[in-house]
Amino acid sequence: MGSPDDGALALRIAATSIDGEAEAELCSRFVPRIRLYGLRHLRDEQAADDLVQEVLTQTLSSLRAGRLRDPSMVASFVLGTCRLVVLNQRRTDQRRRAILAESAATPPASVEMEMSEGDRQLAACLAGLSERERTVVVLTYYGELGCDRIAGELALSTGNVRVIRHRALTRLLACMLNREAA
Amino acid sequence: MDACADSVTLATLVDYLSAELPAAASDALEAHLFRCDDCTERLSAIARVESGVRRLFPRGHVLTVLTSELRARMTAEKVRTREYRVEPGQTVPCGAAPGDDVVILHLVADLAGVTRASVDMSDGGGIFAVRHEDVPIDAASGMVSVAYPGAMIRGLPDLIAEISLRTEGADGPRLTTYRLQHAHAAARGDSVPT
Repeated sequence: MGSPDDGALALRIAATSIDGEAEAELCSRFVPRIRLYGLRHLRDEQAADDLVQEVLTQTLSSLRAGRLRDPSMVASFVLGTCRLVVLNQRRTDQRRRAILAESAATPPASVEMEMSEGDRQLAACLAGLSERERTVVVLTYYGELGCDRIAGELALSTGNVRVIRHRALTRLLACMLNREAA
Repeated sequence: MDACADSVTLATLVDYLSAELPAAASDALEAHLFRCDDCTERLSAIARVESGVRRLFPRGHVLTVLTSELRARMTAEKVRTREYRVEPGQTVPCGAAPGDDVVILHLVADLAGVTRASVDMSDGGGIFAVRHEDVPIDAASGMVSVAYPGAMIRGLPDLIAEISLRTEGADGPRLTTYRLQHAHAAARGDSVPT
């Protein structure tokens, strides 16, 4: 694991006391990877951003101090660090969320917030889906339901839901790409 | 950027992000993601859809038919809704106040044995026309619920909207009609618990 380019950067960081350029490049490559790992396992954007900070801090610290036995395997190290940090975070987060849930205030009155351009494009692309496709996408990402549960909601087979979801995502991603390019 | 050397499919990436991959496959994909820029970029695009839907839907920016799960989630998250229960043949005054993110119409109908349904709503004057084709059917609930963006409803002038619910099923095709009397000023009618 670890592409030669990632490994080469890690070796540079480990070999010299400060290599800002190599560190910045390594971070830029791993930020999206760590963030996606965080989104998948923590289901929260803020928590995913926090994970990025924590894991990159540990990674750079370990590289600079020469604690990685083989810096060329930096990708494995980063993934392993993600797993450990998430495991520890889950233990503390459960307790924290229970406390927050007890003291949750009523949300403030709704404010018509300005939509980002990305959200505006996504809303337009969602409007272009069929009714079933849109419902499956909303059930997946807002309802946080798997295909089995969605199948039960819509009186469809699980296989049918998977096909609809795949078709919907394919159309959405193509639509978003076309709008970005325009 | 080089294309993925392992040809990871869109379906696999979607399943991964939705936590529907078996553990071993998920672990293997994660190891791959940490060395594949192409898959990272593709998965990032899917993640942007996910986060976007989570922002857009509760703020009423996605017009959709609701299921019981979505209604439950909206209630749990205290989404600001204004709801109207409409019986067949009934005319219901309606509107949307500034704080209403989502307006929900609950069309009461006998859905026993129904296999397919569609909803048409229009004012007949070209101002407002929406069609929901092949909507999800929750026979137990006895209604079809549709969520409209509050901002969209607030933007409508005073009008009468005719609603047609067309169903197909064991008893053959059936047409049920409803009517809404929309007032552009402050919302008319209280939210009706369902």
